Amino acid sequence: MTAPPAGGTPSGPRRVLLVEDDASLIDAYRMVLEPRGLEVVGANTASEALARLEEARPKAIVADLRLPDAHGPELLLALRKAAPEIPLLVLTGREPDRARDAGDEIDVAGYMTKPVSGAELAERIEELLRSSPG
Amino acid sequence: MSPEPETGTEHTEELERKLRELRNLETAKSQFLATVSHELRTPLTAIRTYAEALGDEVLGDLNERQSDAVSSIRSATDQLLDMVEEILAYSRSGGQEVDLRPEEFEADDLVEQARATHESLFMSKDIDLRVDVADGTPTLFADRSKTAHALGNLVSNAIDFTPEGGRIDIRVGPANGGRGWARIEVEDTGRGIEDEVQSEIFREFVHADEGQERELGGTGLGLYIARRFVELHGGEIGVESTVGRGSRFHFTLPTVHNEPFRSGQAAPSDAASDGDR
Repeated sequence: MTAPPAGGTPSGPRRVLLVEDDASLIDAYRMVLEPRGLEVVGANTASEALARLEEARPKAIVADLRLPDAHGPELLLALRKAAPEIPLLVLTGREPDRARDAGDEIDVAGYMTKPVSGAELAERIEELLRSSPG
Repeated sequence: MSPEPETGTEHTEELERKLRELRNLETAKSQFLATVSHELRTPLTAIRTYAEALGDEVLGDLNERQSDAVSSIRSATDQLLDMVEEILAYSRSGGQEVDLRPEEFEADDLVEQARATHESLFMSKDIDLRVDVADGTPTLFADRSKTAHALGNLVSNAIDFTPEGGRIDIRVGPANGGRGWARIEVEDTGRGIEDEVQSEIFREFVHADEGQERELGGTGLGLYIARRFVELHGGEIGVESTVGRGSRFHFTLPTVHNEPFRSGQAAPSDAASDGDR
C-alpha cells in the first residue's frame, strides 16, 4: 500500500468526484484510492454529480461518459460549465477514439479506457493534482 | 399452376435486396457485439478493482490461501477482459468500412511492444525469446495499432502452445528481398498443428484442436483477427507446422517503399499483387 504524499494538504482534502453509474465500481475504486490519500465522493447520475460539485468542491473529477440522465458531450459540457477550474478526466468503456470524438473540443485533461486499475487511476489523478493550480 | 418465371431484372433486384439484408445483419451483429463488450468492461473492472483492493490488504491481512484465491480472481478477470477485447476487435474487423490509419514506424518498435506486453508470460513459462530484425529491414507503413494487435495475437498463440522452457523466435526482414513488403515470423517449439487443420485455423471461432479449447479457453478469434488486420493492408498470412516440433506463423506488411499501398490508390487485392513480397 502506498502512503499519502508528504507535505500535507494546505488547500483542503485531496477530494475526487467519481461520476459513474455503477455503484460497485465507485466502491471498489474508493477502496484502492483512499489508502493512497485520495478522498472519493461518488455520484451515480449527472444531476447528483452537479449537486456534489457544489457541496464537496473536489480537486479533480473523474467521469464516465454514459449516465442514466446524460451522456457524451452533454455530460462533459455540464461538468465543464459547473466547474471550469477543476481538471476533468474521462474514464470510459468506449473505444478511445470514439470517446475523444464525443468530447471533441471540450477541455478535458485526458481519457482512460476501462479496464483501469485502481493504482493506474490513482497515479493519473496524482498527476492531475500536481499540475493543477488549485 | 407454377409461378411466373422471374425476369433477369427481377432476379437481380431480389439478389440485391438479399445482399442488403445480409449487410444490415452483419452491421447489427457487429454493433451488438460492441455494445455487449462495452457493457461488460465496467462490471469486470469493478471485480478486478475489488480484487486489487483485497490484494493490497486494505481490508485486512490475507493468509496464504486467501492470497492465492485473490490472485486467481485477478487472473480469471484478466482472462475475461482479454476475451472482451478480442470480441471488440472482432466486431471492429468485420464491418464494411474498417478504419485504417497507416503511419511510418520501425519494425523493432513493433517487436519490442509485443515483447514487453508478453514479458510476464515469457518469464512465467521460462520461455527463451529470441528476436532477429535483419539489417536493412525497411521502415513499415501500416496501421500501428492493428499490426501490433496482429503480431500480439501470434505471439500470444505461440506462448499458449509452447511448453515451459521452450523457445520462441521472432524474425523480421524484407520479404523475398523486396522493399515494398516486410515479412514477420513467429516460430514456436510447441505441439504443432495437424496438416488438415492448418488451412482452417485463420477462420473465426476455430481452435487448433478441441483439447486446446478445453485446456486454454479463448474465443477462437485471435488468428482470425490477425488475418483480417494483415489482409486489410494487402498482406498475406500463413503457417507451416510439424506436429511435435512446432509452428512458424508468418505475415507481410507494407513498407514505406510500397507505393501502391502508400498512395491508397490500390485496393488491398491490387496491393497484394505488388510482386516483391
